[in-house]
Amino acid sequence: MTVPKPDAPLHLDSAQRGEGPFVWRFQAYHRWTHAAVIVSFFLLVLTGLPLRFSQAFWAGPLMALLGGVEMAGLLHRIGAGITFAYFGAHLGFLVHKLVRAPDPMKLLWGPDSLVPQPRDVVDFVRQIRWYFGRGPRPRFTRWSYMEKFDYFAVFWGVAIIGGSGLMLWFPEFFARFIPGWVFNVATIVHADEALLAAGFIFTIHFFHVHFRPEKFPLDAVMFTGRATKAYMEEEHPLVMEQIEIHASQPPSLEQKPDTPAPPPTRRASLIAAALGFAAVAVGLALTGMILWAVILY
Amino acid sequence: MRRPTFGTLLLAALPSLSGAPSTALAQAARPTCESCHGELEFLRQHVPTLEDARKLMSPEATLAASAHGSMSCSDCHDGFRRYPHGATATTLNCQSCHEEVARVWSLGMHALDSAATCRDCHGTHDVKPLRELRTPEGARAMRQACGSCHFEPVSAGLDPHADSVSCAGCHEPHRTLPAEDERANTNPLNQGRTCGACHDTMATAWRADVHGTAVPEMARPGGRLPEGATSPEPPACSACHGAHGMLAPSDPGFQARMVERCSHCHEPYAESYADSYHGQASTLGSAVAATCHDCHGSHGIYPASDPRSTVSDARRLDTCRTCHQQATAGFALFQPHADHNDREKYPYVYWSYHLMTTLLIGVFLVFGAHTALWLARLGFDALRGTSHGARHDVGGGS
Repeated sequence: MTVPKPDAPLHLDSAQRGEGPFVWRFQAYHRWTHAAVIVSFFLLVLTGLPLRFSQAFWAGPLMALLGGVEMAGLLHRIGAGITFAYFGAHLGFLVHKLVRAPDPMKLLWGPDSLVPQPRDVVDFVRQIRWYFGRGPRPRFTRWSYMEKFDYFAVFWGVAIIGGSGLMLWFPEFFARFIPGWVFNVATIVHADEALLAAGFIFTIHFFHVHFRPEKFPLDAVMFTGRATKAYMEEEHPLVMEQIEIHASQPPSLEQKPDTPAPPPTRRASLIAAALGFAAVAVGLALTGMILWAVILY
Repeated sequence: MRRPTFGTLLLAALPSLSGAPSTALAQAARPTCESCHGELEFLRQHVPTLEDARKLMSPEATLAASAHGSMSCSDCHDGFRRYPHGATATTLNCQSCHEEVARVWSLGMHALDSAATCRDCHGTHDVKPLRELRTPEGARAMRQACGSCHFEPVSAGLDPHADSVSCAGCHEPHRTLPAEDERANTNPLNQGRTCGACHDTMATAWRADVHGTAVPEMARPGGRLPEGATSPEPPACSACHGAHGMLAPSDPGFQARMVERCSHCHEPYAESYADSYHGQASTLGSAVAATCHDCHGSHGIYPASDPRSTVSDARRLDTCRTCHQQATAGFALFQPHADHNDREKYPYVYWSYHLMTTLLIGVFLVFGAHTALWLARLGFDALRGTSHGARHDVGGGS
C-alpha cells in the first residue's frame, strides 16, 4: 500500500496543531449529521429571527433577502423537516448501535459514554477550581462535560422547539386536543427557546470550539473527522492514554474512531475551514443583530 | 359662430363709427366685438404695448367652449355695449346671475378678505360647465386650481379618489370651511354624511358601531375619551382612511396603513398584536396574516361583549374560520392580544414568558461566567508564562 505524501497541515485548523500522526475522532455519519444540524439550524434561525424581532431595523431587509414572509415560512418548514429527519435518523442510529454493540453498557456509562456521570460533576468542579488557581486543569475523557451538554442540548432543543413548532405549524389539528391558549404559550416557548439555542451556539459553543485561545481561530475536527495526536492529548488526554498512535501505522480506511488517520488533504482542509469560517461569520453577525434588537426593543 | 344678440345687433346698427378700423368695420355687414377686439394690429394702435393689445383681444374660442358659450361678451361686459365705450364702463359681477351661490360663498372661508373669488377658482372666459367638472379631467383641473393655493400633497396615482372625486366632492365648494369647523363637510361630525353620499353602506354600518357612536361625544369641544382609546382623534371616516393620498383596500399598502391607523388609538392592543405571529408576519409584509380588520371587521365594529361583534363569544369561531377553515371551538380560545405582563388576565402567558426569560438569563449568566473565567484564567497564565504548565498534572477519574 502506498501512502501519498501528506499535504502540509493547515494551521488555521487547531485540530491540525502540533506534531504527530492524525487519529480518527468522528465517523462520516457524525460529520454528516453535524452538517445537517448546521444547515437546518442556520436555515431556521435566519428565517425565524426576523419574525421574533420584527420591529428591528434589520428584520424587513432580511425578510426581503429571504424572499418575503411566505418564502421564509417555507424555508423554515424545510429546516424543520431536515431537523426531524436527522433527529429521527439519530434515534435509529442509537438503537442500531445499542443492539449491535458487543458491550452496550459502554455506550450508556463509562469514559466513552455521552451520558452525564459523576465524573462530569467532578470535572466541572475541577474546572472552576482551575479558574481560581486552586488546582490543575481537569483532563477529559472522550467527551468533556461541555460537549455532553452540547449533545443533549440538541435533544432538549428539538423536543421543546420542535414540539412547539409542530403545534404552530398545524394549529387546527392540535386544537382538536388542546385549548387555543396553548398556542400563546407555544409561541413564547418556541421563540425564547430558539433564541436561547441560537445565542448559546453563536457565543458559548463557538467560544468553546473555536474562539478560546487553544482553538482559535477554528477547530475543524467535526468537518475533517480527524485531529492530530497533539490535539487529542491536550483536549482528550484520557483517550490517548488508552490507545497507541504511531506515524508508522497504516491509516484506517474505515474511519473508525481512535485508529490512525491519514492527514486531511489540503483541499479538504480548505473546504472545511471555509465552511467553518462562513458559519462562524454568519453566527456572529446574527448575534450582533440579536443584541441590537434585544437592547433596543 | 354665436347667434347675434342684442349687443351685436346694436353695434351693427350704428351708422357711423369714426376712428374705427376702416377695413374691418367697412367690410363687416354687422360690426361685432370681434370687429375691433379680433384685430391685434388695430388694437396695438390704441394702447402703449403689444402686451396690452393682446389682453384686449377677444377670447371668443375659449368662451365658446365654456359654460357661458351661449352668452355674448356684453352679457357680462354690460357697460361696453355702446361704442365708443364710455370711460366708466363696467363689467357685471357673477352674482348678478349667480345670486344664491354668491351668498353661500360669502359664508365660507374663501370670502374672508376675498381670499378666493369666483374667478380665482372658475377662471373668467374659460368657466367650465358642471358636467365637465365631473370628469377625471375636471377633477384634475380642479386639483390644479385648488393646488395653486393649497399645497396638500396628493399622490394622484394611489388615491382612489384622484380621478373620480374632485376637491369639491368632499369640500363644500362655495361655503368652504376648515375641517375644524363643525359645519364643514369634512368635520368628523359630518364625514358620515359627506362620504356616505357615495359610500352609503359603509357609512350606515359605521354610524351605529363603536366608532360612529363615539364621534359625537369626542368631536365636540370638551369631548371625552372613550375607555380604551389612547388618542382623542374622533374615529370618523378620515381617522382610519386618511383623506388626501388615502389608499384603496386593493392597494398592497392598505393593510399596513390600517394597522398603523388602528394603533394610533388602540396602543396596548397594537403592542400585543405586534408580539403575536399575526402581527409579526404582517409587520414584515405578509399579505395573508390577519390584521385588525380581518378579525374585528371595519364598518360595524362592536365591543367583544356585544353579540354583534365579530369577536364575540357567539361569532368568534366563525371569524377564525375565515382563515383557519378547520378551526374548532378550542382553537378559538387562542388569545390574539395576550399581554405577557398581565398576570391576572393571561396567567399562562405571564408564567411561560417569565419562566423562559429567567431560563435565558440564567443559562447565559452561568455559561457566560464559565466562558469569561476560562478566558481570564488563560490570560492570567499567559501573562505569567505558564500557559500549559498545569495541564497534565492530574489524572482523570476512570
